[in-house]
Amino acid sequence: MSALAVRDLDAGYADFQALFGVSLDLAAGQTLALVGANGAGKTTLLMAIAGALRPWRGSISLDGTDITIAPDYQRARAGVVLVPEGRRLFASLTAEENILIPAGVRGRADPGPWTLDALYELFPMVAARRSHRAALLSGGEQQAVAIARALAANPRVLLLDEVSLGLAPAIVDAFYGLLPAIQAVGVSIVLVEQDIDRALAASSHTICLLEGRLVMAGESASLDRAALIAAYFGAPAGPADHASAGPGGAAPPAGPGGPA
Amino acid sequence: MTWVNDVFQGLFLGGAYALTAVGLSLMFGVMRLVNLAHGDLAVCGTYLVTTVMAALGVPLWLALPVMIPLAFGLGMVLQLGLFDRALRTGPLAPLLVTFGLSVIIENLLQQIYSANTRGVGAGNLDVAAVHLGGLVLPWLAMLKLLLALVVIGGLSALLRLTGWGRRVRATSDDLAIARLQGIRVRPLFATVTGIAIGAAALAGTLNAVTTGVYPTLGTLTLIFAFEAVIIGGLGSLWGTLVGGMLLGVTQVLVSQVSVPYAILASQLLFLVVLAVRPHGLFGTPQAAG
Repeated sequence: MSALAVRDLDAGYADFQALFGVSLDLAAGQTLALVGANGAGKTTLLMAIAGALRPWRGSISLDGTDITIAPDYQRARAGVVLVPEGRRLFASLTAEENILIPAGVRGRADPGPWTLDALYELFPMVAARRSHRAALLSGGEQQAVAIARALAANPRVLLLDEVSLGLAPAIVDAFYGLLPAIQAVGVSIVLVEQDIDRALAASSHTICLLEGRLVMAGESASLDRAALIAAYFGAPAGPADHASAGPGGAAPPAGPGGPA
Repeated sequence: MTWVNDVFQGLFLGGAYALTAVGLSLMFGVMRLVNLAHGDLAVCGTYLVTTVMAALGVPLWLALPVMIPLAFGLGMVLQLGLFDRALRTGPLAPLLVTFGLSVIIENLLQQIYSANTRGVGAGNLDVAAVHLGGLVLPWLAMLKLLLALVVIGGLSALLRLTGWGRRVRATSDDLAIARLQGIRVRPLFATVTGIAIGAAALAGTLNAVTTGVYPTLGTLTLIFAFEAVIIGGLGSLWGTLVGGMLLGVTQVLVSQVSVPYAILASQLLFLVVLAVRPHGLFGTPQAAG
């Protein structure tokens, strides 16, 4: 049984459709990299999984339980937690208060492994700045708080939206170095990442979105990098079979459209 | 010594303004909701107290503990049934909805209680005072100032120190992300509005001990509460206290020179603050924007 299963998902905003029949499966403790150009629908997909956006069609399930119509706050409590693009910490709260938010929410069955002490051990730089207001922290510190805040919710599925955006390479390396420790306790991760090499290295499976459609999927270790880059930009360079069915059986056409 | 006494009377009056305004300040700070029915809801609390006093034959200090939970409940019901929907529709809808609520309340009160001014009996509390040298310290005014300090201090402590307060501040910072972190916003906002209306009803009742109450009093109540909030700075509870006191002191000092100009002077103070520092004394420019 998949920890997270998405089936034939259509979603969008007002009369703009951003996702077309996207399917994916994610096992417990597995990491899935989600790549694609700007506007390909990566963030929309994460938002739909997190519940910030109601899908038009299709289904989302967590550990076999359908959560397609569960409201966002219930999903967070059930264990689907988003680290949003641009971090979006609660600016007037201290670092520690940010991390205490999910733990204080009623309805959490068990606190899981991510106690405040465990999180401070994972992110020593957060421990050092715990009583500072989030708005006054550096970008790297803010990102660390954002991830710690998500882990404090004891997630089953962690959705990481562009955690490396605007950060120094050394800090990004440090974040990626932490992923195995997070996976080790059975947390599944969906990772949106601009850097294809980093995405492939950090994940067991990779899927590529192009203009809202899933155009490539496979094990990260065996994916043809050139074909993935072709799929990324929608260039017709790759052979047709690279744009074939994803794990969910979606078989969208590999359109000849240019970079989005 | 006269002017020292005047400043004291102004501070007492300011305490009454602040106690009236604190709910308005809280609701705007947390939800960006400008409640134009705030004054009318305060007046509703007053009428509720007179009804409880008449029905149960109890004095004011026993009727208040009955009324405040009812006002809290009314606030929750209004939030869940009305304000939540209005907030989802956009920034203009809450203004229209609360304005409409204000009109409905004033007309309902006229229908039920008639347009006559009625008093709220409080024994001799409205005239009792301590004389200290040249100072006159009226018990009722001191009580209102004390309650303003207790309510604002208590609310600040709740917001700073409790999990509830942490969730309220987080939701105020970023509503969408708060939901995505598992916060259930509807009951949270309902408690905020409950507290705001409870405090307003308490203030309205104590004010009515001195002035009496009539159905359209809420509009006047709203203006002073609004000015206290704006002068102090949108979203700042302690700012609201300072704003109320500046209004009160200005009003009392000017009334020593000319009584008719006292109210005008406090409105001018409000205009000057709006012109010079539109986000108020303790507000941040973004909160006003």
